Amino acid sequence: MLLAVVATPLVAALLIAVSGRRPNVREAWTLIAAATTLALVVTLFVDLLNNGSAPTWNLVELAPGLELRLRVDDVGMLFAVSASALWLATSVYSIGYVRGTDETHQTRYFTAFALCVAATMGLAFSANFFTFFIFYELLTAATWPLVVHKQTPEALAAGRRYLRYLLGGGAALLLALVITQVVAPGQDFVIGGYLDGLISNNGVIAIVVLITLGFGTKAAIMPLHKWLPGAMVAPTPVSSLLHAVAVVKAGVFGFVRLFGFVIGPELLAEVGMGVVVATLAGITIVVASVIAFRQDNLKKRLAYSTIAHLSFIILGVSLLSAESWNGALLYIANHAVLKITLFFCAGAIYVTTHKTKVSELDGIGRRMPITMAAFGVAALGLAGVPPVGGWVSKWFLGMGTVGADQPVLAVVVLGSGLLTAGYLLPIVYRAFFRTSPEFTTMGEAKPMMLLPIVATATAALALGLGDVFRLDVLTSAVSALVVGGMP
Amino acid sequence: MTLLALGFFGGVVLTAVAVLIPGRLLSIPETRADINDGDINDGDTPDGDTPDSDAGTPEQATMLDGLPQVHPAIVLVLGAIAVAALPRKFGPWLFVVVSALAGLATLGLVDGTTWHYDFYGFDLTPLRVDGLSLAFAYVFAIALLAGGIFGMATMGTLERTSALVYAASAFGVVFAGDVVTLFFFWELKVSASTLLVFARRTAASSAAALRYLFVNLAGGIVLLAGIVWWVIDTGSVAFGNFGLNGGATILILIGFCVAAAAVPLHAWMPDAYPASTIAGTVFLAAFTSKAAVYALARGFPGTSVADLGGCGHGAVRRGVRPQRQRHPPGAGVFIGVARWLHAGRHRGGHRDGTQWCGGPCVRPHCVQGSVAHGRRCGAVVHRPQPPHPARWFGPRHAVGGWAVPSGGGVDRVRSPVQRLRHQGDGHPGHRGGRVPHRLLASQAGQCGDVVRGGVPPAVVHLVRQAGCRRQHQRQHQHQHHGIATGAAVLTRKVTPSMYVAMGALAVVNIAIGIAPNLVYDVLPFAVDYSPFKTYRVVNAVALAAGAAVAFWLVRRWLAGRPVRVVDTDWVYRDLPRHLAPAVGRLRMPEVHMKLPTAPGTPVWASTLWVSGAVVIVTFVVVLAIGVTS
Repeated sequence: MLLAVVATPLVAALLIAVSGRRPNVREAWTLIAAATTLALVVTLFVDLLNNGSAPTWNLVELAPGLELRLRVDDVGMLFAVSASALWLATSVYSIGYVRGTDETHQTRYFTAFALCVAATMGLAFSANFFTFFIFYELLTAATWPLVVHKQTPEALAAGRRYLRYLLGGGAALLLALVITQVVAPGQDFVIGGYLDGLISNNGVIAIVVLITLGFGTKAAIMPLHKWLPGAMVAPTPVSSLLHAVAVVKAGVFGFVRLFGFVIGPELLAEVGMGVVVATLAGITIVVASVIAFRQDNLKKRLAYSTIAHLSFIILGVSLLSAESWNGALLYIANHAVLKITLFFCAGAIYVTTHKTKVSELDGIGRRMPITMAAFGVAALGLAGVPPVGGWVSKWFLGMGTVGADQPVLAVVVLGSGLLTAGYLLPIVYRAFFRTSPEFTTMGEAKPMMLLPIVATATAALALGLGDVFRLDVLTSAVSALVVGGMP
Repeated sequence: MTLLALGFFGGVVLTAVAVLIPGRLLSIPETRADINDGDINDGDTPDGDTPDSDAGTPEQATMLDGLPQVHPAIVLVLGAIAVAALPRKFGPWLFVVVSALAGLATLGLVDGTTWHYDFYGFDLTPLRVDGLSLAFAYVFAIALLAGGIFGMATMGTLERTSALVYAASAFGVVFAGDVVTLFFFWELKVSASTLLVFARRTAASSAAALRYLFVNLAGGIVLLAGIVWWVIDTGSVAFGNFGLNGGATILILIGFCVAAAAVPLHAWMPDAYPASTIAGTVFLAAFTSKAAVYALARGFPGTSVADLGGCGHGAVRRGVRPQRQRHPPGAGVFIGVARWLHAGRHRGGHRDGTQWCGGPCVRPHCVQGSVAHGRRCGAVVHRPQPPHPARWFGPRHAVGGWAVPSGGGVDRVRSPVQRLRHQGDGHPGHRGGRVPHRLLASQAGQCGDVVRGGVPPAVVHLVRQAGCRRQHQRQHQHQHHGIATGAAVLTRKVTPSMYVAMGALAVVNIAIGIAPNLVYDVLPFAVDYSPFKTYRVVNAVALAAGAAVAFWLVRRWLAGRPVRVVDTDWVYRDLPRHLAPAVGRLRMPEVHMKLPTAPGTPVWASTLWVSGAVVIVTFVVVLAIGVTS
């Protein structure tokens, strides 16, 4: 079953590619693959919760110590559940979007989309750093056709920048992989890390710097973020994929894996690099938020918002306390749901009205009340306002920063909610409480686009009311195991 | 006559409800006896341990036995969904029905009941029923029902939905048994109430709503920081007596004070309330500050440092400072008896100051006074304020923006309204008369605090009355000499539902004034207080006379002038505008504060921000003194 989780999107990509001339069949494969993948992941999830079952699968051994292995564990399951659930939502939305905008190369689009999800599933269930690296780079490659999908000069330029940044980051990551393989060849991920006692402090610092450069590019930590706003030229579902489902989350997930399962919190604290990375993340949060204020393009504003909010996760992971880890892990799911809702809304606005700028959205709430209400819900969630999901993560991250005696970072974490509210809520205000002769009659996007918006907004609300999806069972257990013993 | 009869009938019904409340509380004397020992937190230990009752419902007889126990917030949220989903024509009655059901749910709650809920590993208590929470919940239930009736003809779907969610969050706050639940409903309250301001759909109201939102979100962040710190320090999430003993509790107190509009954190209130919708203003005045007062009473009983804000608030709000007329001319309609001059600037001003002045005191009388003052919610219905003081002086028969049938409306409603006005100022024989007196007695006699030496409560009271009298004078002056500036704003009639709500609450208020035990029996402490003793009446009359003298002495400075009040308004309104260029060209002009362009605004006014800084520094210093002492 574990192999099927990765194989299903792969097979779907093949079927989609050969069904290009029959769009309905092609889209049917997309939906079937997304639903099947989600069902498989949920089955594994239930098995993990109820029986503690953690199956493994040896794919292939390329050389001694270089084995591609898959394994189910708590943190991987969190990532897989989030990605597979949102892939289904994005699939439904994508069909409505590409048909609404009459996109070209739709077969290539859906094929690349499925390949991305396959890489993401492999990434989630990687049992070791080598496997993780392979799927990480596959994800980079599979996403590139989506970034340049429009094939305009602007899109191609964004694609080139995307490759420069991410392959550059991949090179740094490769160096980190080499170091860890030399020190502990073929070692699987271990809760609490396995490098302690095997490597000098300078070696640890080198690894931290390399993975910050490597994962930091995908996680868009400043100043490695430039590719992300540029990639907004891609179709909106791709932006959703980049920001919520897979790509950038792969970056922050890399920090989780390396800090918690390779280096280990004790070693990280010993060399003092956790605070350094946390500070870098804190700076990113503030600067990206301020830049977001200045963006009139809706997707770019959301892109800078993503840059800021990804750093919440990096900050939480770097602080090495159980609360901050719990908050960071929960925020992987919360941010995914919230941000995908915002991008869905941006796409629905574009398809329906062809508006892309915030300044053009006056009164749009009269025309698209459901879409903009969902936007409002997600905006409140990102600002950390109850009852929407984001506030739970903020609570735990706040506890983590305060508990770690980091008052400045606590101010950043808690105060950034105000910044987020500052650049997102005025959009809602414009939509509902300003008027424009352009938007006088109601006219929502097609149901194929509206349904995922409502679903993700509802999920965001549900996450704020309690652990309805049982995610905390995973995150709290991992957090306790990884950093529970920290002083 | 029909309307008055309806109002009277409604009043009788509400009074009957009020009579039922003490009846059911009298059935649990042992709990009240426990409370009388001095701890309002029903068994909460100062370090925040959970209440004694682990779970379940005590076996106690109530007047409403047989009703299932339902959290009123659940009823209200479901009602809000129904109001939003059903056609608009059902809205008015649905709102009233839902409000009544929430009231019934409140009456059905049994003292001592707790609900538990596992929330991301925390054992939360979303429902903790005790004397204090019930007392505030009854106030909210009455205010919600009256407000719903009042706004039947004016509210839209957005208003109704947000008002119900807003009320739900207020109920959630007073029944919260832990700080996580408290924060949840606290922030929900901010979101819902902001929509009430937005719902007016004018440029001015939208700007005010954004300011209101961001100020209260900032307050929420401070509160969250304090709560998180406190949970880390104590390891408990119970919402009990925090005690002012460290950084965490200071942050919590500041968070509460923002919502309570305590000086110097109050600037948002006179900005947002008048900008709201007609009925929205009623709800805003009824819930936000009252919930904050509850939080202060629950979290900081005995914290004398908070008295300064209360008394200072009263002093500032009653005209010691010049007033800024900040609302642009023609800012919209207003309702009710608009000639009640202090309504606009001072709703929730000195009154809330008085409330939370009493709330934090440790002695039962203080809390009693605070809760009883919360009962003023009803009076708010009678005095929703006009947005611009200059508009308050319309033709003889103008009632703000609401044209009253010639020779009719004003006179019909004047009597209960003026009666209420006297109550609000503490005249004996009326409901409000007892409250400040009891607070004063409590503070003067029992609370050792930093205020007592500096700002004697009686003086504050005196100044308050002086301010009132000045407004009375202006009111009558304009009424009888016909300074007609408001004719252009006459737009609509006072609706029957408004008369019903106002009349009903007038009857309730008078009933409580005549039979104070209706309130006393609801309060969390047993009361041994008679407002009609000779010395108290003499005391009140003496204060009134003193107020007259004070008024005469300071009358020159009590007249409103079109200048800016420069306390923290500078921080609130001007600072963001100055900061914006420094940060960059922030694309958020809506949040930047527009200053009034009243003619004659002196240039020196712009430099008075220094006084604002002094107020803030004083506040911080006093806070520090309170903590260290």
